[in-house]
Amino acid sequence: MPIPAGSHEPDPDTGEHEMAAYFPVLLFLLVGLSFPIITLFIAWLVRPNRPNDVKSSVYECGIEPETPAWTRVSVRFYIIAVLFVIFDVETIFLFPWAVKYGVLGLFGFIEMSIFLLILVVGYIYAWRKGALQWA
Amino acid sequence: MAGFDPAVFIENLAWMKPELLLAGFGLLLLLASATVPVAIRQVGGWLTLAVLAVAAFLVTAQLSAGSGGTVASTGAFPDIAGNPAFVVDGFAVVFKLIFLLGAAFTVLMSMKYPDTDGEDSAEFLALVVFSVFGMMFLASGTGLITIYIGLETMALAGYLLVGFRVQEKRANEGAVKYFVLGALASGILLYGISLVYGATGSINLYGIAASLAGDDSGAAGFLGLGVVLMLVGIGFKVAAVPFHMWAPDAYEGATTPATSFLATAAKAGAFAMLLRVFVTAFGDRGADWAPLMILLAAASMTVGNIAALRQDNVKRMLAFSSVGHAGYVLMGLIAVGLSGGDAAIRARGLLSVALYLFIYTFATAGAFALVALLRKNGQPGEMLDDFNGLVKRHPVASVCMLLFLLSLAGIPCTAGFIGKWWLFGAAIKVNLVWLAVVAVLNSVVSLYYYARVMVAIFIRDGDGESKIQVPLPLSAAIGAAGLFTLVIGVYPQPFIRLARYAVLMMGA
Amino acid sequence: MTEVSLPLFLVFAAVGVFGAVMMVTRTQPVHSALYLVLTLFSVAAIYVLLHAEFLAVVQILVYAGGIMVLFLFVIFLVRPPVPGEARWHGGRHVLLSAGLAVILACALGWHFLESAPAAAGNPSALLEGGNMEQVSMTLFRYYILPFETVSILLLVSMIGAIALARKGEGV
Repeated sequence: MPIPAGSHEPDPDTGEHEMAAYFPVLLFLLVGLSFPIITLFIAWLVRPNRPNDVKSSVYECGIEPETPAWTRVSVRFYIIAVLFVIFDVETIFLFPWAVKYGVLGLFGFIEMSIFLLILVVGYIYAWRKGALQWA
Repeated sequence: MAGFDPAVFIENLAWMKPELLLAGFGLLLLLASATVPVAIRQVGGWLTLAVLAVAAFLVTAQLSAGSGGTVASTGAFPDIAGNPAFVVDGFAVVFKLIFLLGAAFTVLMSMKYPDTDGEDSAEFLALVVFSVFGMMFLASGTGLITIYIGLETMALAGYLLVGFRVQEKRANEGAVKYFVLGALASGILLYGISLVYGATGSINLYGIAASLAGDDSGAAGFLGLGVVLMLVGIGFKVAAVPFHMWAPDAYEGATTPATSFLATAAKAGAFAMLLRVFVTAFGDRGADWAPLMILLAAASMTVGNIAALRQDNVKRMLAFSSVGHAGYVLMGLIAVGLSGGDAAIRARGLLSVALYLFIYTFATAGAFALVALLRKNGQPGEMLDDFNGLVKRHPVASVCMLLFLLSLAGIPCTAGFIGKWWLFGAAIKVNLVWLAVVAVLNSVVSLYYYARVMVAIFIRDGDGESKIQVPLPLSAAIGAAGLFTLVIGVYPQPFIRLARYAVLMMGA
Repeated sequence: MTEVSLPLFLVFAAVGVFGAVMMVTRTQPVHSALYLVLTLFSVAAIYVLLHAEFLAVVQILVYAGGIMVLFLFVIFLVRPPVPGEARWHGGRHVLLSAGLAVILACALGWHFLESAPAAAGNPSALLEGGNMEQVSMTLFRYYILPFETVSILLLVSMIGAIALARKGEGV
């Protein structure tokens, strides 16, 4: 697989690994994984575990539980989540365009404007149809 | 590596006039629906029909825009290697006309139809318009990415059209089945495309053809697997056996205009993609993929027609029958694949596919229009018993239904006979006589279940209901379909001339 | 891919396959969703190994960040998980799909080992810059048509979601 021109090429003489630049990511990952695991583990080791019926029942501000823990979620959350995904996809198209904005010039600007305009029509539609209300 | 020239790009946009018109009109529909919804209810349908007519005019104008005064045959939007991604040739023009025809029938049926009329009529029309927009890339596209995005646009709008009646359980079931299986098929198609890319190094149909023409060895395994997976993916969209499972439920659950759209335009779109990809990219290896397609064709014809025998729901029956028709149409493609450089056979194959899809569109849309006619008390009249005694209630519609069913069965003097003549002839020309015999036998079988409907209409007695009120657009649809079905049957020459343009496929 | 990053690939691939298998075998849909997130992250890591950093970021931002959230909303919307009610419907489906998967894996594996893919050359690798710049230069010059069509595709999904969800709620 040819390594793209212009990106950082690891120098084989120094024994540098191809993915050396991502070593901090690995560190992050390990720390992020270990921190909660170690904390929970130590807590599990230390704490007493004597469950009884009352302690194991569901907590509802001190009173007897009246309604089930899971309540019906309204569909408005779903609509907002779908709209988020759609505009998120639109946004990721903006990233590469922004990176090369200068090179792509006026032509690139116009084509991106058309793209955005079409989605703005969608936004107007969503707005006027009340999809953005009460959520 | 070709450089990029913005001026050339803008020039190329001129070839996309029909697509741009449709996209722009779809956007306008949405804006109007968001701001002045009441107006849409009244004029939306007629306006959409007008736009479809203008688009058809623009498409036909492309036929004479070529340098030789014949067909455009130009490549637009070249990619890095210089291969065009969008092509306007006779094939594209003919198929786009089929799409617009199917869409026009759908729009006619949807006007004054309770499930699609009302405050969401604009959404219904916009979905139809955008679906046709996506289909146009299936007919004209020659870059696999362009084709795929067009396919997804068409399919997504199709899923939404099927599920449009959200309150109705059967619509939900049909839509979910169509969507889940469609998404799976899309995934399989993409995997096949990626394998083909791996084997040939190009994502453009012309690039693939060039790479295949070059060497004979190398990544043959990848290529074979990729082609098979692509066939599976597209076979699903076409509702060929064994990928047809979604069709009966989706057709039954959708509102009748949407079902008509699926059966006519969407099927034609999938066939356009199948033809374009297999003839342009894999045309040289026809002997390799034709056997698979023979299997698909034979299975589709047989399973489709036999399953239709036991249906009491006319929409499900028509769904299975459309699976059978997909089998017939595949024979044309098989003929092209096995033509082995014989231009006459290849021409016959392409011509017969285009001609049959035209004829099939008229007959199927007409049949579904009849089903839409029989609505009563808010329920669609889709059971066989709803057709009882129709001849007393509406004799003209009954005669038209007779024409449609005879045409679908392929009885002489109707358009269907002409279409089948060309298709079966193409199969015989490549020495697949047994396949043609299977097709004829299946046509005879299909006559039986079409006859059940005819018996219900003409011989059985109905509940003694009064005459039906037919909205003007619906009667226009039925009348036009019936007229064309009859006319093509007795004087097919103009249509054959039109279908002959489909042979002009650029670079293949 | 050089020999050195093969172990890394194997690790990520194993994690991904583990996540996928766990996802299809869980009885609680929320657990399945979380295992899917694990699979998506491992796929993103494989993209990084392939020098497609932009795709890796897109995978995490959009897929794991947007679409998985959507999945979870739909899970909450459709059916709150009741423990003990879901059962493992194994049996012949497992046999069939596992069999097909094995056949596909063998076919692919055999071909990978036997033949060399032709697309060793990546035309856009001739362009400068990292993955993001390459994607940008290729997308906005040579693939403008599918790019603009994608906006129509997104629009269609938007109106579909709004029109159908609104009708369902009666809003």
